[in-house]
Amino acid sequence: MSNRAGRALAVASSVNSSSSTRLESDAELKDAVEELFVHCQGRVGRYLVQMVGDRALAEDLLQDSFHDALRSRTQLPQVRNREAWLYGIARNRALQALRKRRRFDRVLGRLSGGPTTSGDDAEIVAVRDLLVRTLSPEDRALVLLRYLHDFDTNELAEISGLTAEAIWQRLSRARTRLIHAARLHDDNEGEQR
Amino acid sequence: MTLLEEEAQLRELLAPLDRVESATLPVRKRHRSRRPALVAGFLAAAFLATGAAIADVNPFTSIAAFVGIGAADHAQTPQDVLDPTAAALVQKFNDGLTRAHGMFPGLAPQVLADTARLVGHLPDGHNIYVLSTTTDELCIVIDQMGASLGAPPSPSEPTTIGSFDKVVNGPNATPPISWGIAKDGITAVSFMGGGNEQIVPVVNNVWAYEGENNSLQSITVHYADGTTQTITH
Repeated sequence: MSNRAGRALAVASSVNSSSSTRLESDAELKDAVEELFVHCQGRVGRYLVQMVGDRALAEDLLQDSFHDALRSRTQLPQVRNREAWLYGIARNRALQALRKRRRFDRVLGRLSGGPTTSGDDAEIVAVRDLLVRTLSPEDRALVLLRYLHDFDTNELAEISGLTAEAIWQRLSRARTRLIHAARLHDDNEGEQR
Repeated sequence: MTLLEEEAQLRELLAPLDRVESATLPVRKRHRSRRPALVAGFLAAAFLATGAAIADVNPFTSIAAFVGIGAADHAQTPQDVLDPTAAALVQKFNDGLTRAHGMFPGLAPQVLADTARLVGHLPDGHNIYVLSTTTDELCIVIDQMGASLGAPPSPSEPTTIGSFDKVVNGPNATPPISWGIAKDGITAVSFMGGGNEQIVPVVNNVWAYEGENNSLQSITVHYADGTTQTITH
């Protein structure tokens, strides 16, 4: 898929996440979720691929996230940041899927970090492997949301249900681990050369 | 190393992941289907033949079949040009149209390959093109899978609907895929599938759904202004 020239179906424009429109009817809530989804699905879809490393699974998770969002639409009037809310739903779906896959992998005795998406270049695969080897899925989710999707600590707290303090600590640890692992990786490569 | 330096280093380290292709159209895998392949006819009554071929010239003049389909209503770009597989499919489709008109092949509408516009692709990579015909109908081509021909979306039939099975029989049989081209302003379509109401977003005028469903019998379109319209057949 990635080798084909073409426009992705995902819409990349952003939605006003701080909208405070008062929503009353169920139909309005449904429409609001649909609109949110249409505007965010490109980025949420990318986040899911980054999380699970498998486009087919990410596509299923994207659809599941959409349905979860629709089912939870009554929360929307209380949601301060709708984008963060949608990412939170997607994150939960991704973690759930990774937990399932971890169990499955244990049964099979597999050692790899999971499937990769065909067409990804070596650099992408290497970074993904580094993340999988170094961080738990929960920390991976935070790191991706913070450094690739630009959510701040408070938004991450909203997405994950953790306190801002806990987020800060987790990110700090994750940064140290990742940078250390990347250095080790570079040193090993240097020695091999 | 300061926090800022550490964060900058991490961003640089993770940057390649920004290149991953996003997951796109959500596809629900539900009950498997073994029903015969169906390239559905579209919904509206056939257009009257005008016989006027439409040249794709620059500056761009709207092609009648693409009016109201924002994703296609623009000058052709290099990425819109049919790939060889899709071009072969269009040729085959045209041959079939000619054969179907028996003794009067000159009356057969023909799909105009040079009007192709790429409007998206299915999650498994098949490109979706729309093309005009000599009779201003809308042809939708999904490369390697099939093509369908019918009236473009209209106020009374605001979305086209097509459906087929990728692999009909055998151990690799796949569920049917339904898809359509919806008019501008439609944000989602919904119909019954797998016993539940399925709401499928419309992105760049395209929607697609994998799984048994009754969209050919009844489909509701959801407009951006909150209104809905149900079309039953």
